[in-house]
Amino acid sequence: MGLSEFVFPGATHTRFAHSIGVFNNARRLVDLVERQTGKKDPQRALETCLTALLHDLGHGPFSHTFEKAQKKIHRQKKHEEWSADIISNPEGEISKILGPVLATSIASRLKKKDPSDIFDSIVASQFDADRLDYLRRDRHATGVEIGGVDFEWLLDALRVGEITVSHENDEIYTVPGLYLSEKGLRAAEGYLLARFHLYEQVYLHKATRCMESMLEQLLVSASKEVKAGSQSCLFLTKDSALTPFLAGQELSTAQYCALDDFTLWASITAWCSSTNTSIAEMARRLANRRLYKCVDIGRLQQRGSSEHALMRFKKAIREYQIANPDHILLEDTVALSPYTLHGYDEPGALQKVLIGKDEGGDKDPQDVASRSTIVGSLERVTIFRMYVEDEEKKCNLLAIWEREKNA
Amino acid sequence: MRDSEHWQVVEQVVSANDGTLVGKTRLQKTIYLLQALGLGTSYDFEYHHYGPYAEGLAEDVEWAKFLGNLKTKEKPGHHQVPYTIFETTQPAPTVVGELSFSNAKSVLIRLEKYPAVVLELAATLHFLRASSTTVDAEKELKIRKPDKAASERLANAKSLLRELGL
Repeated sequence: MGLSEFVFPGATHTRFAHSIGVFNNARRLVDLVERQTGKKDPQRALETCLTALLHDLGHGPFSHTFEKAQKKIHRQKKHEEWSADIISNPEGEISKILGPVLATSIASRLKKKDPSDIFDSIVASQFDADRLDYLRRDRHATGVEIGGVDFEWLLDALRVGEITVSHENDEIYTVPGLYLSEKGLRAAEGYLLARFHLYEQVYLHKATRCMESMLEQLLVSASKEVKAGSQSCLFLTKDSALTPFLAGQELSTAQYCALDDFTLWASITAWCSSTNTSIAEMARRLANRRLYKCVDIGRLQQRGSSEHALMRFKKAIREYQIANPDHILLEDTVALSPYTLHGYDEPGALQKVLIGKDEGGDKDPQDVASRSTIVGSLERVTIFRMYVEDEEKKCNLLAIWEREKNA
Repeated sequence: MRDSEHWQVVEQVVSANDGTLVGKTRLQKTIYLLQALGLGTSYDFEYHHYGPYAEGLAEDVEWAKFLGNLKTKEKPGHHQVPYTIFETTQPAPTVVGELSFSNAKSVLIRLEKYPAVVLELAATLHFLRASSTTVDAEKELKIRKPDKAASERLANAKSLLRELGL
């Protein structure tokens, strides 16, 4: 869970444990599909379970934080593409175990964006094996009481069918997919609320996100030193796994695999003594959990302000940054909705939870939002936060917000 | 804070498209292709579910709504799935970014003839061709979008890229 353990001390479970859980869910979902369709396809079943087991291999250290930092340093592949490369790499261990044909097939499945058959929905859909594991596992590990999922009931209500997808009302087509029967309606409500609450309360916790932003800032600062040829302040050894990454080089699979949480933490500890004072300060803050102060504008905005208040604030902050170039302002924006966390993706059928009708043969499942007043009333939440070094700078930003919110 | 210098260009594109552009995918892909043709923007497109996508462009839509005359409205589509319509009452511009109005307009007319899914395929194919890590862009496209890249759609996408000289 990246840096969540600094907020929820129990959140120390590993990606390996999660992968085993996803594998187990995939086996159960494959069994469900086989029972409902009355067809068996042992090869696709095996491929699906192995895809589930290996789906997260390509995550870098601290998961998405690292991905965000690498975007700013040098555009590298996304974790799904790294997963595919690691699996299909002919020199790698996985390809040797699975054989090149199976390894290539699994790698291709991981890169696919739309399902071709029902087995793909087990790996990537609203009720995929991944989500059905991490929601329960992370809730258990963090110890939060909200966000319960009625897993067995959901599984019992899952149905296999053709889902109609429309792409911006442009073209309508059907894909094989999973939906819930009528009796799964309440479990679906619980499932969506669980996701919404866990994202808001756990994954997007302001202290976690603040640490992630600070780590991202540290890596970008370190990269600037390496790119400028002044990496001596970073104490990197000649064969450090971090050097090619910070230098913005195109990484080989082997170089990428050498990067892990331990490598990064070792460097952060070393950087506490860096001669670059801003790098040393940020590293010491991370090592000692001395967080930046959070200005939670999104939350303030929800208490009532004009439509353009946030944009006015952003404009004013830009002017503030120009006037105070030495102030570090870390910006954090997330659009949170119960259906999808991708701000861009349209809420098409693949991003929806669909409920079938018992009467009428479940032929045209409906969006849960049209069947449930609870889900229908959930609104998209925009989180906009700024993280600043100290209380004084926080007060400066709050004063700007007070000025701009009703301007 | 991120730079937002291109918000006027976003509005110019919508304005040049007779003041209306339907769908976030169409907007993203239209500006991706125009950027490849010399629009003068420097959006950092990355691979998303629907192909190349620039977060900065999505942000500039918000800036164009705030600082300019761009408006968005959501309409319920099939199964009540909403889609976004971008509109502006701004008169047709003389230039669209660094492109002349007539050049931009001829591209926009071509793009409007195709459904968004073809634009998605064309932009994705172009994006994959430009990627240093992709060996065979068409093969990669078929792996990533096996159903969307059905023969007729892919042929249309390739034909569109040829028409655009990309």
